[in-house]
Formats: sequence, structure tokens, C-alpha cells
Amino acid sequence: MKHKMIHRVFVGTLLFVLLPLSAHADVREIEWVELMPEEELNAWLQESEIVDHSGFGAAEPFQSFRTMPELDGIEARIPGFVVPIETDGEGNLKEFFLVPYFGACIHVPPPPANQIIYGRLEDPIPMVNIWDAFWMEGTLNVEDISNDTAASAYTMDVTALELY
Amino acid sequence: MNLLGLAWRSLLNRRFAVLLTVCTIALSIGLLVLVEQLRSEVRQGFYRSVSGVDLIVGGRTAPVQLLLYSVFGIGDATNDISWETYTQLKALPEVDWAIPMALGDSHNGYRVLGISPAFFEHYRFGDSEHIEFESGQEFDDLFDVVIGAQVARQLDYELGDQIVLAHGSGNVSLQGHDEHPFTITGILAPTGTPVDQQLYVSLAAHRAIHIGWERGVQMPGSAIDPDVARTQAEELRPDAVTAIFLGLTARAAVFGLQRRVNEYRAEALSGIMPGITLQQLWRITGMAEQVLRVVAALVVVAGLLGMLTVLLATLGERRREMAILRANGARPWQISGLLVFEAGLIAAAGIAFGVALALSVQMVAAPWLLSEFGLHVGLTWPAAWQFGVLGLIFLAGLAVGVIPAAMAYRRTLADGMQIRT
Repeated sequence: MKHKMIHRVFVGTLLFVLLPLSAHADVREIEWVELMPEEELNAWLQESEIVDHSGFGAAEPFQSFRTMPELDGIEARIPGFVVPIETDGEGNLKEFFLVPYFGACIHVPPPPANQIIYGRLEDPIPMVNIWDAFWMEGTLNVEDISNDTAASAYTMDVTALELY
Repeated sequence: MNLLGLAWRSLLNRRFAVLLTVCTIALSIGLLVLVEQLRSEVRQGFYRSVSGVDLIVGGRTAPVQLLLYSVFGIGDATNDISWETYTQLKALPEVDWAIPMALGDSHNGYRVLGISPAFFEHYRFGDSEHIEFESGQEFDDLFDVVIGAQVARQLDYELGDQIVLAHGSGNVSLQGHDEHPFTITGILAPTGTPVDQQLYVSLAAHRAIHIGWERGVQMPGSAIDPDVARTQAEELRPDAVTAIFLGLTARAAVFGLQRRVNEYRAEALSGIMPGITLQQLWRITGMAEQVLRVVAALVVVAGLLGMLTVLLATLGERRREMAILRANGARPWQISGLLVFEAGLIAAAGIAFGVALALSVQMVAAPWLLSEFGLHVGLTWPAAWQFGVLGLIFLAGLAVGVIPAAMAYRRTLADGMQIRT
């Protein structure tokens, strides 16, 4: 918990320093596949679909927590669906996941972790509809999510969330 | 005398009809505002009630139902989760914390939850606020109970009071756990969520009071002696829990975990993400809300038509009044203006009273919503866009006034002082 905090503060400070520099940087439109390391994409395509159903087992192999470090800090714009996670006291949207497709499609596994972006809104906005697609724009970050493994995931400090 | 004064005197002269018209419009506006206010307040109340929980796991059931019975105490669970499944889930590397809860008992109609101490540490509400104690602390002894703020207030309980829990969730207890009175050791601070409406005991205590109930009713003399139970407190645990709140180490893992929970073969489970499930709930209630909105809008139209009727009906009676005004130098457009002005006054008064009506109904309904559903409904001012709608309704009121005004304009020109009766 403490580590996370320190980490957040660190990232926050870093952002504070870097933001003015990148304020005029062009916003890059990225695609979801760009978020996935190439070798992983290849391995993933060749992988056989054997899923162990006994017990809760280990996390499925494609639950990848590997990210593309070169995407860290870029100003990006990406379309997707919103999965609300946290609201403020008034029911406004504060934190959410952006995912490439909507719905609990029960026939295929959910998107891997590096195909999910954790969005944080500085100023909460009125709750959006989860059935609508949105353009999310902001600063993309790669954040370590645990201290003992190399797991990391994408987060975004969202500046704009608009209807697709 | 100015326009306002004239209109006012004229309205006073017809006060009964005008008052009724204002009432009609006020009722319709009140309905419109109330529907919208309650809708947003209730949604807000639901969003407030759950925060920081990544996944809720329960026996296989519909997502909305699982959310309603686990968080809001609405409806009942169809199935339990075995203790083994709970321990397995809790041990998963991506699970940061787990709050198991066992339902099934009540006290004076309030739910009693068997929970682990993780509840006090990890459960959050509103803007990620933690649960705090108004007084006292967590349970120490096996037969200790912590109560929500609303329970303490409604039943007038204080720390140290002894209470008896009832088996089942009826409002009146017929079958109680009389042998095992609980002592109140903690009272939670108000949260404005269902947390206020519940009582909390340890899972061990939940187990202890159900020894002897294996056949569905309590076998006489089979209850465990409280002191014996205390010595076994370490080993006591329920065979099953009703729902589990999970917090994850990495939130992005929630989709994968949800799928594994739903596909778990050893036991039929449902895992839900609260944010998504709440929206599914809104989708269900959305239909009813739309119908209510349409009805409210139609009632507003009826109210405005009512005003038109009254204005038209009195127009005939007011020919003399108009003629006198004309004789005193009023121009036809001034008379028309007077009528539009009147309509505007009536509409404005109706809107003002309507909003006041809606707010007072909200104020009266708030305690009921709080005690029935644990939903805290605040007295908030209508949203900006609602005032926009009210403005449009006011303009519609003015437009309605134009009809009698146009008729009066033509008539005053034609009639002059000659009133043919």
C-alpha cells in the first residue's frame, strides 16, 4: 500500500515536471494491438487453447501484464468502452477501465490485462453509458502494479472522454 | 396603475379559478421535478453504497440480484458458497483482500451480517471513505455485535446493551437465538448507505448460534453453551458464506478473475463487477423511468391546457372589464399584453409552487427511503438542465396566453363599448 502511494506520488511528480514540456505534443491515435508486445502477439496467435477448469488454477497465460515501455508518457487518443470502477460521493464517474469491446462475451476469454487501460479522471464527470463507445484522450502511463513481479499495466490520466 | 397592478387586481377578482389553475400547474410541475429528483438521488444513493470492491462473488444467480442482496439487503440469496471455495479464492495471488459475509439472521427487521474483521478494514463507500466507529470498537468476545448508526438510533441502543438475534429475516421474531444474547461493543458512524441498517457479528458467532439448527429448526437442548462456544471460538467457522467482496492487487486482473469465477467447475458461482451491474439495473429500471417521465410531461401539458381553458372561459365574462380599460385609453395591444402577462404570472406561480411541492415531498420521503432501503436521499436543488426545462415550460405558458390575447385583441377592436348581450 505504502509502496503504491510512494509510486503514485513519484509518478505524479514526474508528470508535473513533464507535462508542461509535452503540452504541445501531438496527440497520437493508437490502436489496441499497439499496446501488446510483438513477441507476445505472435506467441498468443500460436498458442493452443487449453484451459484448465479444475479449481481456480493459475491465471490464464494470456492474462499478460507486459506492456510497451516506449508508450509511457505519450499523449494518446484511443476508442473503447467504459467499465465504471469508482465514483465520487455523488455518483459521478472517477475511475474506470477502457476496454476494446463491450460485454461479458462468455464464449471467449476476457481481454488480457495489457488490453485494458485504467483511466483516471481528474474531475469526475456524470456517469456514462457502458453500452456506448468513447474516445479517451490523455497521458498514457505504464505503471508497475506489484513489487515482486515484473507486472505492469496501462493507466491514463484522462483529459477528455467523448462519445465515439 | 401599471400592468402588474392591473393584472394582479384582475386575478384577485377571479381568485378561485386562478388558484385552481395554479394548483393544477403546480401539481404537474411537482410531479415532473419529483420524478427526476428521485431518479438521480436514488442512483446516487446506490453508487454511494459500494466503492473499492472489484468483484462480488456469490452463488450462481443473476448479477443484479447478487448485487441487490449482497450490498443493499434487497431480496434474498438463492445459494451459498462453500467455505473451501472462500479460502481458495482468498488465497489467490491476485486477491488483495476478501470480505466474506453470511446472511440469514435479523434483529427487529434489520439484517444481521456474519463478517470477518476485514470488513471494517476494507469496506468503503461514497468517495472511497472508510467505515468509522461512532463509539466503541470491533468485536472482541465471541458474542459481541457491532451495529449500524440507523439501527442504534431507531432502536435506541447504546454500548453494552444486550440484544437477541432472530433466525430468518422477518420483521417479528418467532424463532430467536435466545440462548446467545449479544453485547453491543461498537456503533458505526452514519454513512448514508445500507451499512447503517445492519448489524455485524463475527463469522464464528454466526456459526455458534446456528449449532443445533442443522435440521432447519432448532433441536431442543442442542444449542451450544455460550461459555463452551467461547472456548471453541478459534475453530468455529460457518460451512458456507453468502457472498464475498473481493479487492484485487491489480485491478486490471478483474476480468480474468471474473471469468474464472464464473467458470469454476467445483461450484456454481457468479462474479460481478458492481459498476457494470448497477448500469444493468438502471437499464431495467430505465423503462419505468421513461414511462414516468412521459406521464409527468403529459400532466404538465394537461396543466397548461387547463390554464388555457380558464383564460378562454373567463374571457367572455371579462368583456366589460376590457371595454372599461379601452375607454380609459388602453390600446388593444396593451390588453393583449395584459392577458399574456396574466398567463405568465399563473405559469410562474405554478412552477414555483411545483418545485416547492417536489422538494417537500422529497423531504418527507427521505426518512422512509432511509429506513426502508438505507438510501440517503439528500435535499438537493434540481440540476441546471431541469431549470432549463422549467424555463421552457414557462415559455409554453406564455405561448398559451397568446391565444386568448389574440382573441381579445380582435374583440376589443370589434366590440368597442357596445356589448351585445
